[in-house]
Amino acid sequence: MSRAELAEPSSRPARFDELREPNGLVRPHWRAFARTLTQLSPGEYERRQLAARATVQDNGVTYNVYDDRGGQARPWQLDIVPFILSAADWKHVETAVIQRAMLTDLLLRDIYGPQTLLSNNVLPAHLVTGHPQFLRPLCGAEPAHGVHVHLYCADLARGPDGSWRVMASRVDAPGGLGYALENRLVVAQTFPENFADMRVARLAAFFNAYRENILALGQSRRDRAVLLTPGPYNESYFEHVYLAHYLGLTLVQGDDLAVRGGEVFLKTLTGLERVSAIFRRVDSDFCDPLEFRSDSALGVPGLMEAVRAGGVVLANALGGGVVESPAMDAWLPAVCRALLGEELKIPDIATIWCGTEWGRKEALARMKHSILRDAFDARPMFSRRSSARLGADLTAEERAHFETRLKHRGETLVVQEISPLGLAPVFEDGHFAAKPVSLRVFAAWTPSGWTVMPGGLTRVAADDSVRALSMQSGASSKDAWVLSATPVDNFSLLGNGGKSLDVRRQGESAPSRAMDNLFWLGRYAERTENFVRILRAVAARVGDEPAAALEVARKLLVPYSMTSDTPIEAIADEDDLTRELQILVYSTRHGRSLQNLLARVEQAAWAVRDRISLDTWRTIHALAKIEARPDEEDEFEPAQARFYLDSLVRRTAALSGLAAENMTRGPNWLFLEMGRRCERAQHLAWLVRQTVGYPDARETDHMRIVLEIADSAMTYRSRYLNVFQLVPFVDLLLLDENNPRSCAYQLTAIGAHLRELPRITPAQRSDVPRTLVQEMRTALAGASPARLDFCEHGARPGMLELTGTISSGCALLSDGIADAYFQHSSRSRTGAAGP
Amino acid sequence: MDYLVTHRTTYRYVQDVSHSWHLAHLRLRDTANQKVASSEIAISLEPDSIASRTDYFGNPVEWFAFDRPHTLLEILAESRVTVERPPERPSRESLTHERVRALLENPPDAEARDAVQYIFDSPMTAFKSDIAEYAGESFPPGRPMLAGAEELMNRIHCDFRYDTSVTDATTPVDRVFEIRAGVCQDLAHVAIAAMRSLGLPARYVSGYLLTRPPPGMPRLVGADASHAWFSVWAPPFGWVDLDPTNDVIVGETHVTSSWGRDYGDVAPVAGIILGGHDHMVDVGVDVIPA
Repeated sequence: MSRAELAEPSSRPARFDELREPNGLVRPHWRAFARTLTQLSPGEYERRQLAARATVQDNGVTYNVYDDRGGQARPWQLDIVPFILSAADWKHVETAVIQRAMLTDLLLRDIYGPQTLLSNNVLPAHLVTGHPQFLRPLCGAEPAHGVHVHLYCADLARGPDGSWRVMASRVDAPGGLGYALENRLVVAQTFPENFADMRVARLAAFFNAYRENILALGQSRRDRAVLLTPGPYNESYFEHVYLAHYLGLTLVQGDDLAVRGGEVFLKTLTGLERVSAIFRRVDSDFCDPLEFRSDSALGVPGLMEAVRAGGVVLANALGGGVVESPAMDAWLPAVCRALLGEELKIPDIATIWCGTEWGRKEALARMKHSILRDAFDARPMFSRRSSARLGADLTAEERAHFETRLKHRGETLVVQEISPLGLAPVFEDGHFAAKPVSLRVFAAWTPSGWTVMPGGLTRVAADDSVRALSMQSGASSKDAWVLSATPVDNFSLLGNGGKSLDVRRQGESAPSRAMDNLFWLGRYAERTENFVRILRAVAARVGDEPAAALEVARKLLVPYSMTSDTPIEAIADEDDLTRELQILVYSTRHGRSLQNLLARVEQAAWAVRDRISLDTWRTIHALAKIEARPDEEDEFEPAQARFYLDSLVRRTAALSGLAAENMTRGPNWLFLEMGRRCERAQHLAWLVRQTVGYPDARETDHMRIVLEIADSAMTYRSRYLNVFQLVPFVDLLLLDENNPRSCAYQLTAIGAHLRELPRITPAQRSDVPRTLVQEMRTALAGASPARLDFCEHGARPGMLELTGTISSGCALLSDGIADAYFQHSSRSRTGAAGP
Repeated sequence: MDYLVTHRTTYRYVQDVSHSWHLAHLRLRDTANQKVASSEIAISLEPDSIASRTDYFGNPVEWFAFDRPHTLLEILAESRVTVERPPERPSRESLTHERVRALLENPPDAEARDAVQYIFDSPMTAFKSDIAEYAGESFPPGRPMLAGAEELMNRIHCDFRYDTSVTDATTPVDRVFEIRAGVCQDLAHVAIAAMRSLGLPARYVSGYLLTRPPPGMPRLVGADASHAWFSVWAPPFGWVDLDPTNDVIVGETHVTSSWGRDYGDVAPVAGIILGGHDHMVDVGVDVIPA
């Protein structure tokens, strides 16, 4: 990047330029970094940007966009140029954020307590009791130790004169900490020299303070601490996984928790374990379906009662959403004077609440040059479903509508100034540009006062428009570097030097929902491998042995074609078959297609992302995103399909290898394995049944193909050369306990795994799984070759019976394991019929 | 009048319910013209946890939970209450709706401040349709608040058909407004949404009607179950209750149980169950002079 390009002054004087002073000189705190940038060759810069992006994608850092169909996860956008703040700048931000955090906590204490601000007419009652997030059941229920806010978060931006403003505050379930941390790890690696030389303040001590002080509020440190997430479909699920790991918390969903006698418990394989602290990422009104939103499936019935009983610390405490409204911005200066006796150190963006005569008059006068917004709409401005509109954009009809609403229901509206955000340098598409940014900062409660994370999540607007700042509308992010005047503290939570190791609680807990997901991950992964192998066997023969391809397809693709357009039995020729293969292999819409199955594998893995290694996740992620996959609209190319299916076989093998070699033999591994073994046993029994249940002339050919599908061709040949006979075939695939691809082997393994699992508690059902496994093993052991081979009326009744026993036994086993360990019971609402 | 109110709610579950949590607004509250002598609930099964409280609106409420399998739950509430005839409140003597709006903008006292919350949409009265136009007809400039509310009640009574088959407890108010039919809960919600669409305070009242009317009086609709109506804040009279289902100002034949922003705040019994597969609920209400 040439010096000239970087030196180009900002052409928009109305915005603050982070990099340069108005005279064009690079600001002192940017100089060291700017020097590096001008010294790096464009090629080197590009290389670092790509490496950073690859790390982000490999780590599976995503931000789900809710509204997209299927809740597709999108890679997190990161610009590697950090946002740099001088020590002096930061000092000001830090004190202002501490003031805000204190103020917010006091404000909530008053709102859910004595409400003196309302009775003294400091704050209009409208702003509190009219707010949909004013949660009435919380009134009078003081949170643990009277602390309402443990983590405060504010979005800051600079106005044209460089002074800071608060764009929004977040106190209900603030997000962004995990993304800020991930950005830091990636960017510090990207510019290791600068990061070390420039005395960039470290983040770990902040996270430690955040965690330790919440844990200290809990009743006993031996109890469990959990991070409560809305689940894998939440836009920030990645962050929840990441934070839970970093802070040493068990990641849970509402269903994993149970309230008994005023206390909260985690449901695990071995029963209930007491939870003393919940790091909450579920919005307050979703937390207890009985007392708040009854349509919430995310919460824990009875949680509010546990809060009243003081049996659990929620961080943050429930109910913070009531102070997040834009309308509150208009009143904070008065609230700050009343509660702290001082002025706000950093103001909010100028806001007029239209619930007063004066406010309505001002609104009418200013609306053309302002933003109009619902008074209680805390969504990021101009994000999806945000109510914000530019006054200048209104049609005549909309303006009339607005004016009517202003007259009748002015209290539900605010008018806010349009504040041009400051510009910071970004690198994109091979060159530097300046883009509007905002900075999300975080403060954590400690018994001795608030501590502010020296850094934050910097968000970069997609373009210059006021609408462009929300992550949903394509904005990007940056790391924020706070320069320190003194040497920095190298304390790290990820290293092993800290005193923090003793609080790691992960690894010992096994929430039953997570085990359920792992079981199914095992089943889907195995099913994928089996399906791919069958598809490959068919695809491999389409060109050379079309008759064999058709026969194999009829015998073995039957179950996968049940919902396809043509029943496979009706497929007459090669053309029909290739059409069918095209759908089964590539279609993303077909319910029984390979792509659909791969998506299910990825979903199951995503739901237990906190329990599988990064490498395992990367392997699974890569399964669904193979670059070589042809477009589904293209014509079916057998060679290309073989290549694609071959690569899938290798990757599924890598996946089972990772599980076998890299997972500790705890419950996670046991359930994943049992899922896989159960699926494989069922599949083998089915393969054998389809091949030799009803004898036909080409039986030996089919045996050869099935041995290949079951990856046992080598073993067979080493024992029997090229002579294919029924009894050795069945022995190898069903009965031989030494063949890792036989039914007997799977059942022996499941039996051993079941013995490893914690004893089933008396409250759970009887030991159905072990009994079933024993029954199936007995059936296999007692199978006589003569009986299996016996044939009458074109069928082998002994074979059909044995494979039927295994098939139905495995289905029962899967249900039996679920019944014994996963405690499935559906939750529903009951209500008396309305009057 | 003295009344004995019994309210029996029976849940029968197809399979075992392993855990359940309930919130009941079944005990009665005192009001300006109602005095509760006794109000008790009895539960067929000893709860594993139970707490009695007063909610934000001042209603008595019971929270209880069961941690052992059951297939039957019966909750019986029994109350003795005296209801006086409310004083005469000539509607023309109430403040104009514009004055009420102005009072709420700068609430002079605790009562006005409390009324502020009832001008905002609540979960079950949020509406998208242009209900304001419908409501506006009853509130021309300068009209006394109560006169407008009485007319609105009368219009809803005439324009909406009482029909127990077209809605359930979760039907949105927009739908009721569209089909112009529903039960007492729906009519109350429509009235409340209409008032609030003009920024005027209205709340939801849940209660009961005398099962068999005194000789010579017509039997009112909704007497065999719990009943509901709406209430408007009409200074200087304070809150005045209006029953759009029967087109009457609420008098001594209505027994008040609870009030809130809408049905969701005061549902007689709400619950969350684990398991159970499916459930049947049976409600029996009896209000007799005592």
